[in-house]
Amino acid sequence: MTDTLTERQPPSLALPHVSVIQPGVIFRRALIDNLAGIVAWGVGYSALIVSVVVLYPILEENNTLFSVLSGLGLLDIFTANYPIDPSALTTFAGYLAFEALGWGPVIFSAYLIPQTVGAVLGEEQRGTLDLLLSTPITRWQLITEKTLAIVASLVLILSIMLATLLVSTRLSNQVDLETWQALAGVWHILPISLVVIAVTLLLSVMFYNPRMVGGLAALFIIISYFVRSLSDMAQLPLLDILRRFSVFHYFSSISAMIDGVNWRADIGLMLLALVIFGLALLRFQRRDLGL
Amino acid sequence: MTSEPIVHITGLTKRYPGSSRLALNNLDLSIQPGEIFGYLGPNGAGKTTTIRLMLNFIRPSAGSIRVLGLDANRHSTRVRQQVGNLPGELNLWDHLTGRHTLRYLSGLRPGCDLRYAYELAEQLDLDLDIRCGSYSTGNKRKLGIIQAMMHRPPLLILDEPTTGLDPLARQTFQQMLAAARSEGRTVFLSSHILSEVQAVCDRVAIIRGGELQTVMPMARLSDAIERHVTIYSPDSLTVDQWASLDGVAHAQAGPGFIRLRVTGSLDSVVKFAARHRVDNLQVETSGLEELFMTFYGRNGASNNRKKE
Repeated sequence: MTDTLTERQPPSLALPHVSVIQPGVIFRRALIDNLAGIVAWGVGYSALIVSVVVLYPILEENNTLFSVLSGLGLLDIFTANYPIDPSALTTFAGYLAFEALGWGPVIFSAYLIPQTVGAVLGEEQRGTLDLLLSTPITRWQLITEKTLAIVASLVLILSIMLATLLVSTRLSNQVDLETWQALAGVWHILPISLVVIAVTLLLSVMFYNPRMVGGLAALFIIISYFVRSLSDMAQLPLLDILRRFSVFHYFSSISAMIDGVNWRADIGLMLLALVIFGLALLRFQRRDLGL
Repeated sequence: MTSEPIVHITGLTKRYPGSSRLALNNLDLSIQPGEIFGYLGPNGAGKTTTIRLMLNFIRPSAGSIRVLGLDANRHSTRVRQQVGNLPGELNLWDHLTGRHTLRYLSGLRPGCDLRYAYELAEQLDLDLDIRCGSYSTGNKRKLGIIQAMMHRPPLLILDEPTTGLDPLARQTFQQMLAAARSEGRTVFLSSHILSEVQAVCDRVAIIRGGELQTVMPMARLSDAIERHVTIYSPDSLTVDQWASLDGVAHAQAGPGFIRLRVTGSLDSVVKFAARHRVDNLQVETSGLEELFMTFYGRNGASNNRKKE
């Protein structure tokens, strides 16, 4: 039997075949639906950045910041695994990385995990995925556009943060920050966040329970962060090996803002995200929907 | 009918992961172009599973489905391009209005003319500028019907289409189906409501427990359906006279009324009633479960298993 519609169907009824649906329909819808969240997160994180810009000159006076961080042993801990002079942490760039941007991947997980779980598994659980997949859109196109919308949302939030950082540091005469440092600090949040999105997406297409998926994705972040932090503090050989499996090993805002972007680490993280995304695509192609 | 079937299902079987029971067992089914095909069965019979397999939402454990000559699994996007689907459990995006929903979905259907969708909304008297979250169940259903029909597909798959619709909207919907049939479109209508299927379908398949029980022309099913006729009369009505009439399976008299169980035509009952003074006459059609009793007995074993 040949697979031609014209053999089966009167020409007046058969709809013309279109191989690919016009791209961007689902992407646009998802992005519009995310707008309020993008603004809220962008403004919220920007407020944190502004507070650092305002507070830093006060803390810097009389070397208070150096004394406090040094007294707590934090200077050595946070720079132990990176080729950075511990005193760099007390510069504005170092302090901004330590207080605000360094928490980016952890803080953004609270945004990215629910967004990613909701994008496919949420639609599936609500039953709206049935309507989308009743149209001729392919599964890979649907999941790709949904994922790209989340990535675009994150990029927009990071752009708001970058704009705030550049404007606020220019307005303040008491802090020094080069444009490349601002760019490097904000950019560096993106690759590791892509891994968070990809891991959550893979979990979303493997399991059917959104809460469980959200929990597992959060656990991935917590364990990765815990292993890296423990290794920073304890300096044990076993932890030194384990930390290489933590995505946070390849993330250091301080290093990015002081010494520049570590492209090897960032490209590695992005490739990892791409591979995990590919696995999610393959799994979604085979998934029984709506169980 | 001798033309190539628009839907051809052979040996279709589905077992859900972790379930010991087959959701669908060796289903064979052919639907001809231009017919309204009823797919009747109680909840959990396997109706929705069949539809989800046709649309490639789930994968068959065995068997094959061809829709418009295309393998539903391998060419699922091409199949879905030719199909309009109304899911049984219809869920919409609560924050979108009806109009936004139709625009969104039409964007995924190249060449879809939204003016036709708006015409359908007018026919069904649906306000498209209200958020879906504020729609009643009936209005959600109306929007579901519109999105399934708006691209004028050759095949409509409708799962419990009239759930929540008011009688007027049901009537309009039946007219829309009649128009679709007159244009040569095919309708696969799944329902657990006997009267819904009876009103519009040309042929009907009955499914139960994942197994196809029978496929027959609607007229034959209508003949097999029992009706409960109650005649209220001040005259004295004796059971024996009524029980001997054609089609009367059982008669029971009460004060001022007689209740009959009738199969097939009501002709002899109506003519005999005309000899008496009749204050009131009520006719109730038996439900799906009673139909199963008629065909298969209480244990579900077929008394009259036949495929046409």
